[in-house]
Amino acid sequence: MKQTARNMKRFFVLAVILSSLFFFVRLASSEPEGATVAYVSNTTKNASTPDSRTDAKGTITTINLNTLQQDIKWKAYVGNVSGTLVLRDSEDYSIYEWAAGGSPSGEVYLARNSSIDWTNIRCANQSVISIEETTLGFVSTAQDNINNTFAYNNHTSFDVGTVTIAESSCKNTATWMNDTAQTVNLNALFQEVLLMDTSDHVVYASIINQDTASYKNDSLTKYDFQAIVPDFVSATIATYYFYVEITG
Amino acid sequence: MYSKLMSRLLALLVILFSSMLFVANAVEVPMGAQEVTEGAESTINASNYAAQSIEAYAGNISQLTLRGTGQTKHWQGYYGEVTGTLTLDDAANWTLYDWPVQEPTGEIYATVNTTPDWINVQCFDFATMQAPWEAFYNMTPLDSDGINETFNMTTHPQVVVGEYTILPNTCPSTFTHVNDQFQTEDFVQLLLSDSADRLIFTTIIENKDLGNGTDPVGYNNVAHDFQLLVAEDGTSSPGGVRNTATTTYYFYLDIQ
Repeated sequence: MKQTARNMKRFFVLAVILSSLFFFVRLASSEPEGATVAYVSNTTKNASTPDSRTDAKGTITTINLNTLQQDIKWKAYVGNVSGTLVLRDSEDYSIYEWAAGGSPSGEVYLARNSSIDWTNIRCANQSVISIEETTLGFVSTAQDNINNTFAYNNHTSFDVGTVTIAESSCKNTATWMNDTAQTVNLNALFQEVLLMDTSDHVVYASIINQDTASYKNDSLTKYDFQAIVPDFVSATIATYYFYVEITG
Repeated sequence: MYSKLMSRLLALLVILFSSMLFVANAVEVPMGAQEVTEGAESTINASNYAAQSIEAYAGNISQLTLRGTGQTKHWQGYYGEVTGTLTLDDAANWTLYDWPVQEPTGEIYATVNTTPDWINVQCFDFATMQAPWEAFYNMTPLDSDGINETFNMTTHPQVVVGEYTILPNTCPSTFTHVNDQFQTEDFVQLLLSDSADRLIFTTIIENKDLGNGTDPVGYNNVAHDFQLLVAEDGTSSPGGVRNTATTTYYFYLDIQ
């Protein structure tokens, strides 16, 4: 018999048909998700004790006055983020879940709209920022308007769902730490970036910094996020919707 | 008499020779899946997670606790059915006999390598292989959905990989969900490797219970033969460019 025939082997060939093989899309659709919000507390500035003077009758006295006044066009949210990473289908069935721990990384997004087009999120442009200021009743020359608050282009890159926001591409700011203003650069903590979607909805993106010393000059108080958002100058109270994107 | 004896001997030699065409030197290794049929894709529905709102007065600093849910960027899931045929073929694929198997038992293997060394399969060793493989999938040690965080158990039955036996409860393992819940009864998954440290995702086909022709329900309350997690890199690169490349997995099966 030929050598090839001598070398024939007995083996099992398993012809297997995998039918109805379903799989989850490889590029996970990972848009920011609506967050569950648990209110903890709020606080505001106490009224300052007024200074006083006593001057002689018939005198004209020149004085300089200084005040520290609570800004009533902005409000802030601070706190902690927890979450779960899941592999879930469109019917909300999970094939697997991972506890993301007490302090995941990612971002907290705040917007006055409950429906954001995350697939087309981008840096907020000047036109939209001006419309936002007008909508809220901000004066364009005010020191505490949106332009003067988000006055930097110095932030880290981050992902919003499938969109990558490039480093220092958008207007941004950073909230205070230890009762002191930070230098707004790539190393700043609690960076906050101005974004918008295709419907010109402004989104305030606060980058999570896990268990970080807060705006308080208090080493014991730590938060995962700090975010400032503008409110209506009028008596109307702005409602903000919270979204979270956690990444491990 | 002599000629009869020689005839019988010759016949015996022919028989023996013919039987050597099917020498019991069967290469018993998992075989590549002959056909993979793609079904529907599905991912998390963000509309099921509407944002919540809270009111606060201007001039206030409000403390909140936020809880979020996020779809993992490091894993993808497969599930489905398995059918197969056990056959007795030669190297030229000529079939002497075959047996259709409607509900086969065995294992499914998925790997990014096309030529695993099935003769030298072993448990995945976190000490030496975790770092390079997590780097391959762009996972960091801090990720809560990394490889070791996922395969964080050593609970599994005995598994026979070709001719090599993996003893019970010796390899990293995990279980995928049943009916949307974590459980440790069905759909177990093991982490194996070969002699070249190639990572092999392994799951046991869910017809393991003798005499039980009913598949267990899977993660979505529908019966399946298997569920399988494989790692994927869905993160962005340091330069900020989103990784849109896909990872090709090769499927092997070992059915009985």
